[in-house]
Amino acid sequence: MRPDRDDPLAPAIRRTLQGSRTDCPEAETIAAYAERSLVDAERRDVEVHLSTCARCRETLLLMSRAEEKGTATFFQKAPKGGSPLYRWPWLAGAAAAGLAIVVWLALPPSAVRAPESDRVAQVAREVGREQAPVEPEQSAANKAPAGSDEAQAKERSTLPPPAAPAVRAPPPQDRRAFVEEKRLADADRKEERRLDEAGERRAPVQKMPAAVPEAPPPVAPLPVEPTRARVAAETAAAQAPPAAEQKPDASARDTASAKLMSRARQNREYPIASGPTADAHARAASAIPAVTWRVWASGIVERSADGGATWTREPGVDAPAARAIYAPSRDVCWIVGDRGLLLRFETGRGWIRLSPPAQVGFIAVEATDTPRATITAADGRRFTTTDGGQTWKQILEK
Amino acid sequence: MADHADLALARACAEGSPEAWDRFVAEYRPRLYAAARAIAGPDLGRELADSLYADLYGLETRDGQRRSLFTYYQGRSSLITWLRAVLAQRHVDALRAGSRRAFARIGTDPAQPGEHDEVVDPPAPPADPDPDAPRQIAALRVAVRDAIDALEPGDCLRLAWYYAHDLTLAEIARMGGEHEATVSRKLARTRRRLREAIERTLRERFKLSEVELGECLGRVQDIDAGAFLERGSE
Repeated sequence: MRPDRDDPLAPAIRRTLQGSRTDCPEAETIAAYAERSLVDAERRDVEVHLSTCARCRETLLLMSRAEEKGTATFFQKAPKGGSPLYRWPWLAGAAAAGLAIVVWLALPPSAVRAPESDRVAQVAREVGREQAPVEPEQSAANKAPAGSDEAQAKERSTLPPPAAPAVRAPPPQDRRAFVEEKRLADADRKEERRLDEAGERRAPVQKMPAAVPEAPPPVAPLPVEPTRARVAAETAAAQAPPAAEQKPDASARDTASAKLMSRARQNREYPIASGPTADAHARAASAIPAVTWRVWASGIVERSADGGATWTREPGVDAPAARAIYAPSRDVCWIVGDRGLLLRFETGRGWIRLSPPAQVGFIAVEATDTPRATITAADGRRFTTTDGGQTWKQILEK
Repeated sequence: MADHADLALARACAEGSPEAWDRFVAEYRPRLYAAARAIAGPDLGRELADSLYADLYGLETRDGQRRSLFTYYQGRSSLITWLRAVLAQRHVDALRAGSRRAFARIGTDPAQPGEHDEVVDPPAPPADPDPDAPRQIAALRVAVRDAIDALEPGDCLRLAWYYAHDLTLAEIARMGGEHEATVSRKLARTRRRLREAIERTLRERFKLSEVELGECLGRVQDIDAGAFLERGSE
């Protein structure tokens, strides 16, 4: 049913929705909303505001007018068409999988074997390793023209046997993922070897420290993960900020900017403290399944419900500027960081980005219970809240 | 999306780095002026962009120090989107603060009184021969407001885009990142629920009979805008 603009109630609806408010979000929040980069809770807050504030809706409308061509992330265009594949995208995957199974079952085994050139290469390696008699395939390779796969296999057969089974080169589009996967696998193997030699193979995931000092700002050791996870996190961190690297052709006049960008990147290379960071939480952890939090340098926030044995990434939150994290109980967690970063998690409400009491970076946070917390700014000022971060009061040092 | 390069550039510009300003001028100034023209038209757009450009540079001083607007940028969005948001917000504020009636409203029905009109006391309605009219209008006003307040934010926002700003379904879909068919379906559902809620309130809370209900809904044009404009400023 198509909504009717001439609904008899339309004038009343229109007039009711044309009011404006005075507590409008900052331009940057509206910009982040337009870019769909807000966490869910904050996005919902903005929508609540937009639904009752014509001023902010008009701001958003004007922004959409000023949208540049080619900025695909801004006011993303809604997909067209009513194809069932659009409404049920999993159908495409299911159909592809079904087709693959049918093909697999329908074709004779010989048809699904590796390509001839691969089998020739494999046989050639076997020959090189075991000095076995030449297989018929190799004979065929001998006759192959120079430059063909078979000829290359023949050449390989004359070389010393490889130390490990050769891996077939992936197609160009998959090469990067292939190389990355191989690098991770090698790193895993090295790590395992090192641990075996040291005779202290670790548990898969190391539990977080129970507490960190209150001051100076908590800088607990970087949590040690299995190599693959650590490399993945580092890779994510490396992919996030590269500003100057994305523009290698930047001219010399960008020197100052480049320095600042470099500094911005360096600021993110701190060891992120991890929770629990309070005795209160440690006590809670003894009575209930330990809920533990941590933040990676890449901004990924993870939560563990079993004292750090397994970790789950928190959806809808990203804290690349995080400096400190604090969980006073299993239901509440605070994260503070650079550029006024102030996040609060509460079970049932999710992550909420709070307005900071000052536009500065924060280096420490401490909470005593659900609504009360104290944060320390980089300039030494301390602020406290008793209502979950809605309002803040500066603590005046005597 | 947020970009650390944007933030670094903004910080450098705020600190007055000439190299950073060179870069900003080369990369962002044309886009800034293009956005301003798209928002406010060629004439007002130039003025709008000049004003913002001056504030970004920090011509105004506070306590003897230059204060750049860049210091307010925290890197939560991309720099160009933030610039567009600031431009749009300033233009909307200029429209609202200036000649409210002179400027055409943005995406609203010119025939309807809106937020750009000065809020004045509604003129005294002509004497209605029906003695039930004031009571029914008041009841309808309350019922509409309560029904809208009870909506989910997303539903309410779609309703606002559609009725208060006269956007097409395709435009609403684009704003919300939804499919046009989804917007149409949700709007129809919201409208149905809204009507049900209004009728329920009128029946149960104001004890209107079916005949009175029909009369009451027929008075929707009589609802004064001034009463509704108070909403939201709470």
